[in-house]
Amino acid sequence: MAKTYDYLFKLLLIGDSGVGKTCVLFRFSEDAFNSTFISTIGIDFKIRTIELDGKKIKLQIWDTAGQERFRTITTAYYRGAMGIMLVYDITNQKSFENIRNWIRNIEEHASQDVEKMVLGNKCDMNDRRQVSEDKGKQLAIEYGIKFMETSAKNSINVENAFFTLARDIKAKMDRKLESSSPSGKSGGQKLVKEEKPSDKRRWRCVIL
Amino acid sequence: MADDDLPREYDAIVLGTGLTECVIAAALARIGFRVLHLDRNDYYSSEWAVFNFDGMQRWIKQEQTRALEKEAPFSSELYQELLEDGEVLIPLPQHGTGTSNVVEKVFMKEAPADIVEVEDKTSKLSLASEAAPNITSQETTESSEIDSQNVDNLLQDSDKRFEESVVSETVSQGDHSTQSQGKDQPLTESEEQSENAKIGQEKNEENSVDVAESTGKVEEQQKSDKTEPNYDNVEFVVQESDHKAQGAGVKVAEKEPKKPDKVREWTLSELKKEWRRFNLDLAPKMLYSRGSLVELLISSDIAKYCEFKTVTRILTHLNGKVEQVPCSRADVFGSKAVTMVEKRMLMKFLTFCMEYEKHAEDYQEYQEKPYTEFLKSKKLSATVQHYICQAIAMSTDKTNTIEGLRRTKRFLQSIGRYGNTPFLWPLYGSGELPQCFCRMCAVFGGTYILRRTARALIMGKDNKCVGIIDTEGLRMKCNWVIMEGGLASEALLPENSRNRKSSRGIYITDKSLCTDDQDQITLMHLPPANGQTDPITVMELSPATYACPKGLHVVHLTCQGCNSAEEDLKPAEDLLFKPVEQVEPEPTDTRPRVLWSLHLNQMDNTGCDLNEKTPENVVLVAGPGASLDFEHSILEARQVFEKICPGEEFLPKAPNPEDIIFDDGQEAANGDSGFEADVNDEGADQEEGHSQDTDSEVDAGVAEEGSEWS
Repeated sequence: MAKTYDYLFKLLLIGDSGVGKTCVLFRFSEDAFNSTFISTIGIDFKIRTIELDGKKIKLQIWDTAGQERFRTITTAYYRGAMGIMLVYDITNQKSFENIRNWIRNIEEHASQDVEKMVLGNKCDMNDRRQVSEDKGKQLAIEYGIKFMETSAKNSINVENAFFTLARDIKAKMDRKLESSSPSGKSGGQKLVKEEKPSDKRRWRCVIL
Repeated sequence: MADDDLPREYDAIVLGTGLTECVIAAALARIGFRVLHLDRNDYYSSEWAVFNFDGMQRWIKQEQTRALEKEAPFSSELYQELLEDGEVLIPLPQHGTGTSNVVEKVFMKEAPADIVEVEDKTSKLSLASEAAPNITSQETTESSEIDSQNVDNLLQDSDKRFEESVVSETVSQGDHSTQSQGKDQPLTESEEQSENAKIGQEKNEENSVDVAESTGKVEEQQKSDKTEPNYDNVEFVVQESDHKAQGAGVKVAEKEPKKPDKVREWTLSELKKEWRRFNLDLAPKMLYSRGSLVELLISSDIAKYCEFKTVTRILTHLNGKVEQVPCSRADVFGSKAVTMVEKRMLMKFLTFCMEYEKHAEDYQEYQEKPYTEFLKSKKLSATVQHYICQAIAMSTDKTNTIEGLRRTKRFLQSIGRYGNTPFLWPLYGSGELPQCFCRMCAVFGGTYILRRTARALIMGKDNKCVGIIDTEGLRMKCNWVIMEGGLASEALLPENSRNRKSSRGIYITDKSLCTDDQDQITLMHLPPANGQTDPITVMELSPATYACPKGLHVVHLTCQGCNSAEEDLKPAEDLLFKPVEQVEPEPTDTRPRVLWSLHLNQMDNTGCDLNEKTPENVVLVAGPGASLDFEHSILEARQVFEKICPGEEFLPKAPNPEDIIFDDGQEAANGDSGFEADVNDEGADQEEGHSQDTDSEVDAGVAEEGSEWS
């Protein structure tokens, strides 16, 4: 079978409710924005394939399914993630403060060398800004991770952010010499149903 | 805050996040029910939970606290204004738990004597927070031990109220220190002890127990090499990088990855530094490859949230030795442990078992007689009888023939689908599986709140539950309440529901029960000891499962609870592990040493009808129980779902996210449902590296159609 991509990266979006995670996701995956309501029911993750250095990279971006609202994200959500977008709302101080809590959460449950990036979303709403760009930068420096202000609505930096994160993950992978694992490499296998009419089922190794 | 726009009306409210509740929640949300799912704990999976080492410490403390806390009297006046005319409240217990006799023991030195400790942030945190409560728990040890005896008596009296007692123990016997986590303990005693332990260990360099090396073995190895590409390398690299990240300390594992023979001596502080690398299950269970959970995961596509390893071997204890049981065809042919004649007999018999129903004449007269007698009549040798009865049928000499045959067939049917044993183990622990169903529920609109449960059920007219008052004092309306049985009040539970319990032991050990050069995942059964009727289940997890860091193993023992878990499991521990009391272990003793252990009893209500006394729209479901597999839970979930929504499809496949995506135009959206296969296949190719092309088509030859025994 012809390969349709060279890499598959599992990325997560994390942050408080209402910071625009789903909007960021839709902007990036469908180049669409709906300020009122996007029904995410039934949608686990979105996919977009990008090209970096001549390689096709399939980004599988998982949304929180609303489980961030009461801080009840399942540990299983973090398994195998290679990159995490931490999103806050520049018009909501609390969502910015909570980034630290989310990072703590990630440190406990995600792979230790997962790539992280902080996004200050809704930067189109400067008049209601509560968090200065500098503060965002400082926080990111403190944790040694990258930072950008984005606007899903006006399509500012969303593309850039995902490309940056993907590039960092790819660079990290390329740095690893041999057949090393990306951060999320789990060594486990997935249960997969066979396509063929025979009731055959088989194992696949997965690296998500 | 988030409460403000929280809807107050649901089709179903689910209390507790054990597997059965989660499967039901997912199934209901999947067909459009508005589901609110609550759990009073701050973690998922209730009694089925899996924890890292820190999380386990918190859980132990929580259980200790709950055991001591007294139930606050319930006053319904508080909620009067929330009630409508004619409504009454059934309060639910807030502190009750199905868990009891929780005893943690540590058999390690606190810290390396010669190293000035550089703690990382996390371990400092945990040590600091634990130091204080520990003192009290030690002081109360004696009295709570008495309590626990009382509890056992009460249990035997059956209809008395069950109370849990949690004991944190400090044992100092012989040369092994048993310390609670407290950092404030004097080291002298333990230093001396570990000196002795060291002597013991040096003499004990892995004289590995005889495992039949054979062609079959090799074949198995090759197969597993294919299925688990390059595992060792990968694991090692991961670990290395993590060590770097952690900085100080733990270097031993890094230095000597190729020499598993050297048993490393661990200290508690070293172990705690690796806290993230543990996944310790409260109620570990394995999946039959053709069991109902595997089928459900595939048919619902919830399989995309989880990953598995095949259980790599079945061991048995025979003539004082631990040895591997040949259970696939290749194993049988290759085994050196059985003679040629025995092989034929075994092959013939196992082939017969696959369709024993068709040959009723062969076993009719033995049907109700013990399986062992039937095996004898088949002229099978003693070794082969032992394999079949104990390891394959997981039976005892009391099990009757018809049941023995049924179990043998069930075992054989699942062989060959994914590996050479019938079983799968979930990566990160079986406690992850309930969460996978929660994710599906949430994706379909279910609302999740942890640290919150129901304070009371609101009963309307006609003995129907109309909703709950939650622990924040909110009134939530609903049509159905589904609830973990352990959370229910006496008024709702049948009298016999607290009679049965399971005894569990979790052990971190310094090496495998039966060492070879691979990372094994092992299942084994031991004959029942005093008072039990069912065998004792032994699971051993290597670091390959992420149960523990490299260099350690995790062993789980489970059996029916007759007494406390400690008493029930003592005989099995004596058989499997080096004696902890012994001043100087025998140099020839190659058994693993226990570094840390946890005992607990869980209420086992899988055997009774929990809903005799419940209102018609309140459903209680059972906890994990002592069984090896998930069959009971999945069956129960399905039944509850059918009761609530007769005729509806149970967890139909979720739409493939890739069917609804926008793509850069590079790649046509995959319309077919072979998504996982594609992704995994190619993702694996790529990420596994450009160097080794090990894992595409890994399955070739592994999964056969049907069972290889049919």
